Amino acid sequence: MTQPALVREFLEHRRILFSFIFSLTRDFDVAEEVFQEVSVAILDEASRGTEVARFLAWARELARHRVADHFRRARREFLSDGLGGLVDRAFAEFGGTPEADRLRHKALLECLEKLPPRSRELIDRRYRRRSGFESIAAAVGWTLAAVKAGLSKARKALGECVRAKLKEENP
Amino acid sequence: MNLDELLDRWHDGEAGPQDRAEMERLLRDDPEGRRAFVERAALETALYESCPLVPASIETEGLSEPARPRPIVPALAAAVLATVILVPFLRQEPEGPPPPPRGRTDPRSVQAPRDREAEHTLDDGSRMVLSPGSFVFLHGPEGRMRERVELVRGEGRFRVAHAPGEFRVGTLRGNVTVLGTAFTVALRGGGLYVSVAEGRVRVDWQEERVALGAGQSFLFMSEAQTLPSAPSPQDAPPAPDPAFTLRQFPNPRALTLVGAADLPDGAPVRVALYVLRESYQDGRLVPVLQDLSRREGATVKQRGFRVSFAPSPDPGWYQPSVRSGGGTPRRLDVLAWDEAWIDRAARGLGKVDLLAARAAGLVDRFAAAWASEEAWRSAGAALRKASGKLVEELHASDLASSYPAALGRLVDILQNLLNLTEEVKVEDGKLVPGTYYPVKDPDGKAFDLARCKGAVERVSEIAGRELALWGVKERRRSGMPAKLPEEALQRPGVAPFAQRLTGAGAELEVLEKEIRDPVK
Repeated sequence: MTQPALVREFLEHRRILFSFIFSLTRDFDVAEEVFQEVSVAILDEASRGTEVARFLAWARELARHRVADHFRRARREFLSDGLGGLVDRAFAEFGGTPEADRLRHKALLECLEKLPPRSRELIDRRYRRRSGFESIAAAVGWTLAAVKAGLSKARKALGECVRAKLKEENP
Repeated sequence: MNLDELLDRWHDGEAGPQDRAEMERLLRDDPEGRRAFVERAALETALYESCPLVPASIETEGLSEPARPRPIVPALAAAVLATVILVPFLRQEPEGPPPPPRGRTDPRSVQAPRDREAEHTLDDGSRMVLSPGSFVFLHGPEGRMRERVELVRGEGRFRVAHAPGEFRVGTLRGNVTVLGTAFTVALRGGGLYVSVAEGRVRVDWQEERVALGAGQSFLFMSEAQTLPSAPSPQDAPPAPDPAFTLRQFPNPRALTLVGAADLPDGAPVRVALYVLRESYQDGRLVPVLQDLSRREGATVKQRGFRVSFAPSPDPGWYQPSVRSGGGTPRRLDVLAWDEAWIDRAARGLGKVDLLAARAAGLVDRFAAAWASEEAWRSAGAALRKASGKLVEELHASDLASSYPAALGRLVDILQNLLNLTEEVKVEDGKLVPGTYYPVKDPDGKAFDLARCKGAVERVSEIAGRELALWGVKERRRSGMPAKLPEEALQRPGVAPFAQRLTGAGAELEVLEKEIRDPVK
């Protein structure tokens, strides 16, 4: 793989790679930081002419190390190697392609518009304003449990809507 | 617990040990579970991308208006592209301002026009001058900070008003916290350039925390980043006259220095490595510059160069000396350790005590053997062998970088004993050294075993003072008091200074002087 090809692979797969990192960190801010580190490392490898046969497997391995480093630095417990490996396996099996990811993203935007206003507000507060459950509860006047249940319901509805739309595209 | 609940808890960061076990089982045994897990992660990511943070108010007076922010992940890619601008095929930095930083509720933005600087007065009265094309977010007061500025692109020069609270300039690559008044921060060629005109600033860079004083300039770059490219006229702050930083500490395989130099491609750069070590002299601790006899070379490429020393030396205060062509060597301070290393050094005091106790035992045995010719004949050879072995251990000790004066003192005392007992003769029924060495102790006084023992017993106190000095150095490096273990603070050599070492506001120069020379 030539340098530009490695970079092209990275740009094509960056969203999948970010998903993988997020599923390991379960914290969007941390995922952003690690993604930055991984991206710089990949692009540095590209500038050195590193050749990679299976980009995503290689990038996930790199990302796992960086996530583990991050947790070590932060003195936080990280997933066991076994669990990290299983997450890796899941992404190897079902991580999908950049095209499928693009379609999923497009579908999500359409599904978001169909969401009832209250669900939309919860999603907006959680993902746009990055609010915690407690501050969402205070803002909308719900109990904590109700906020969690409402968000869960909204995400489930979105997931089902996206799956249905993807099925329409690829029956 | 059903699958959706488990996935909720996992991605909300609320999964406990039981959830982890359940997740492990799911991912291992259930293909549909694996599919659902990946789909959910993709949904979460897509939701974050689809709901970008938007600054609530945009300040545009006299400045160009930023374009609408883009989704997060493309924005991250853009930031990365900006980070590695040296790679030619990645020159795709998008037009318009970058996306807003994460996690802010109400930042204002300021963008300098492409063709001129923008000057701006902040709410706290501080002044900021942005180079053409630069872009910042102003976050206002946060926690103990009275102002937090996020430099997203370009360069800013700051003159900070005297006021309570911290003033911080943050970037993706590190934070600069003001301890003084005037400084420059620039994102340059994948690194973070900081230059201090007046006062002091503290730079948080990856795991390092460095305090820079007036006249100091550093270019901070990470291992994964490429060297800085030649700056374009638009984003070019004046090149630092070789600027360096140490990277990948404290656990590197190679100590790497990255420099920027306003020199043509191919210009040779030679770097020699020196280290500042404490030495015990007449009761005082004196910093001595030691040539490590390690030299490396590089050539300038695109205004940058990189020099590596492998294997990396121990943590410590280094002074690489850099020379280009026939120019004058330029020496720079590189404070290469971290908070964890100071803690490890403090815990090493016990080992110094053990070494000193072994040396004291040997001195006692020398005294016993020195009592008669017969005793010396019976024990002298073994005693000399044991002393020689301890000297070798001291030379090879991993404590040598943290307690060079204390260990050096033990070596001097033992080596002096070895020298003086190389040959022994009897005069007036008493044993006397028979060598050509002057019969004196390491302090130049008449040799006396009782005083020798006293000198060994004071080594623990010397080590304590060395640790106290590390406390002073740590505050210089990080701007914060060193976190020393309680037992270390109560030790001889440390205890007299403990309160000032751990408290805020100590006059460091006075404190250092007292630690170095407590008699005066």
